[in-house]
Amino acid sequence: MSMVNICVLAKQTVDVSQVKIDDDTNEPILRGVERKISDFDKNAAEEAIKIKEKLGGQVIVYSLGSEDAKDKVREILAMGADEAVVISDDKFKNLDYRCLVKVLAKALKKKGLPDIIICGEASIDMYSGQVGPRLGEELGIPHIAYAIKLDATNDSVNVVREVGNSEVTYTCKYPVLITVTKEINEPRLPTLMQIIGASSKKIEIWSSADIDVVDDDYTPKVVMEEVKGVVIKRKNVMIEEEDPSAAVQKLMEHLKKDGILLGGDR
Amino acid sequence: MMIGVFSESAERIVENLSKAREIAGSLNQKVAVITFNDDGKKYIEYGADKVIVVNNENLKRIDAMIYSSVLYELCKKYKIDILIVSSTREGKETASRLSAKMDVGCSLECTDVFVEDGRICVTRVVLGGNAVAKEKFIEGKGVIGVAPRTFKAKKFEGRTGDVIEESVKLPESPVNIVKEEEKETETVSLDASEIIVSCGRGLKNKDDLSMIKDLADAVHGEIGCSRPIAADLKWLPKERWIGLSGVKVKPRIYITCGISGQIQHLAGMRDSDIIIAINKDKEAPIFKAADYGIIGDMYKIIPEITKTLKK
Repeated sequence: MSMVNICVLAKQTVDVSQVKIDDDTNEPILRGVERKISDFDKNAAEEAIKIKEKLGGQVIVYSLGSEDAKDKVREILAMGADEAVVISDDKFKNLDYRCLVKVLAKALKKKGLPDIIICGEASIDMYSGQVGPRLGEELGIPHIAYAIKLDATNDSVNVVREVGNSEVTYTCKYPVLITVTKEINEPRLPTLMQIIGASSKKIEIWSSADIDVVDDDYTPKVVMEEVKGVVIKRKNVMIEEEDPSAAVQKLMEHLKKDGILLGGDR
Repeated sequence: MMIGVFSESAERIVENLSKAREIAGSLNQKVAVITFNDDGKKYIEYGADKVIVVNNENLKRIDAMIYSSVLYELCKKYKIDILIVSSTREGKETASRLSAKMDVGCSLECTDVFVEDGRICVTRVVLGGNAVAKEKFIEGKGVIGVAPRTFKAKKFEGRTGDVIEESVKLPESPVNIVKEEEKETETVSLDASEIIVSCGRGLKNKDDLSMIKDLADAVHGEIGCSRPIAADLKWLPKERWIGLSGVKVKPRIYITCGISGQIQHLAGMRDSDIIIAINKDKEAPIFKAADYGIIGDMYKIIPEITKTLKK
C-alpha cells in the first residue's frame, strides 16, 4: 500500500448556538460558552480518515488558536487521525486572515508539505471561507472548494462540487488543498476503545518560536474593532385560536390594517 | 490609486459600483471596473471612470486560480489597491487567492462598506448569525467581498470615462474538469424573489410540498426551505435552501411554515420586509423574529390561508 500524507485543519470555536447577547453592552457573551471543533472541520477530518483507510498514510491535525484546543482536537484523534499540532502563542491572539494563513503555511511546511490538505468550507463562528483558498495560494498549491464528494488515488484526487445547476467533477494531482461542505459525509462518532486509544496519540504544542514567523506574519492589516449583537426588531404580533379559520381571519385583519396585501390579482 | 470593482455578473458590478463611487469620493480616488467578455461602455453611467475589459474564451468558466491571476496583473498595472468583488462562492475563492497574491487584507461576506477616518471599514455577520462585526483595513489596501444585492445600482448624469481592452496571458490551471452533469432542477434565484413561502422540519412528507406550492401560488411567490429539507432530506434543491450556508433573501414578504427559527436560518432571511411565521410550538424562536405569528398546526393553517386568498 502506498502512503498518502494528509493534513486536516481544525478550528476550535464557540458553540454558536449557545451564544447569547449581553443586554447592557449589546455584545456577544463568549466567556463560559461551550467550545467545539467547527462543524465543517469535522467533515474534513472524516474525509481525511476515509482516505487513509482506503490508501494508507497518515493524518495530522493542525489547530491554530488557544492551547486548550487540545482537548477537542483529541476527539479527532479518536476518530482516527494519527497525531496533532496545536499552535498557540500570545503573538497570535489577534490575527487577521492574512496572518492566520501565513502562520499556518509556515507551520505546515515544517513537517514537509502533505499531499492533501483538507479543511472546512468556512468556520461556523466567522463564516468567511477565506482560509482554504488563501492558504492554497500562500503555499503555491491548487485548491478545490466546496467539495460534496471526494475520491482519492495514490497521486491525484477527483472532487465533485456544485456549480450553478450542475455537478462538476474535477481532478487534480497532489499536492492540493480541498475545502468540504457538510454534505460530503457524516463524521463518525468514535467508539469507547478509540477514545481510550486517542489518549496515547501525540499532540504537540507549538509556539511562535517553533515556527519561522517574523513580525510581519502576525501584524494584522485588518482589525476587528467591535462585535455587536444583531438586533431583531419585529412586530411580534401573536395569533392563537382554536379554530384555524379564526386564526387566519385574524392574520388577514392585521395585515389589512397594516396595509399589507397578500395574494390578489397579478 | 484606484478603487476597483469586479464580478462575473454585470448586475453585481453596477450594484457595487455605486458604493465604490461613494468610497472613491471620500478617499479622493477614481473608480475602475474590471470585466470579462463584456461590453464595458455601460458601466460608465453607473459610476466607472475606467473600464478594463478582457475578452478571452478561457475566462468564460470561473476558475479562481485563473481569475485571481488575471485580476492580480490588472490591479498591479492600474494601481487598484482596493478591489470590491461579489461574495459568491467563486467570488470568495477568487478574492482569497487574489488577496494572498497582493499580500493585503481581505474581508468576505460583507454587509456594508464605508470610510471612517480615511480608512475603509466593513461590517459582516458572524457567530452563526448572532452578531455583526466591524472591521477596519489599516492600510489603504484590500479585497472586499460584498454579499449580492447589498447595494443598489445608481445611474449618474453626464459621466465620461475610458474603456480599455486588455489582453492577459492566462496561466494553465492545474485543476481539470472530468465531467459535468446538469441536475434535473429548474434554475431559481430566490435572492431576487419578492415573496417567499418557506418550509422546514414541520413538513412531514415530501408529497406535502404540494400544500406549500398551493400557498406559494396563491401569494404569487416562490418556495424556499430551511436546511433539513434541502441538505438532509433533499426534498428541494439547494437553490431553495435559505440560511447562513444557503441563499440569502430579502423579499417583501417571507412566510415560514413549520420552521423553528434556528439562528442559521434567520441569517438567510432576516432582511425580509415582513415575516409571517406559522408553527405549532409557541416557544419556537421563529416567533421572536416574526412580525406576525400564528401558533397552530401548519397542516390546518396553510390550506386555510390558501383558501382565503383564492376567494
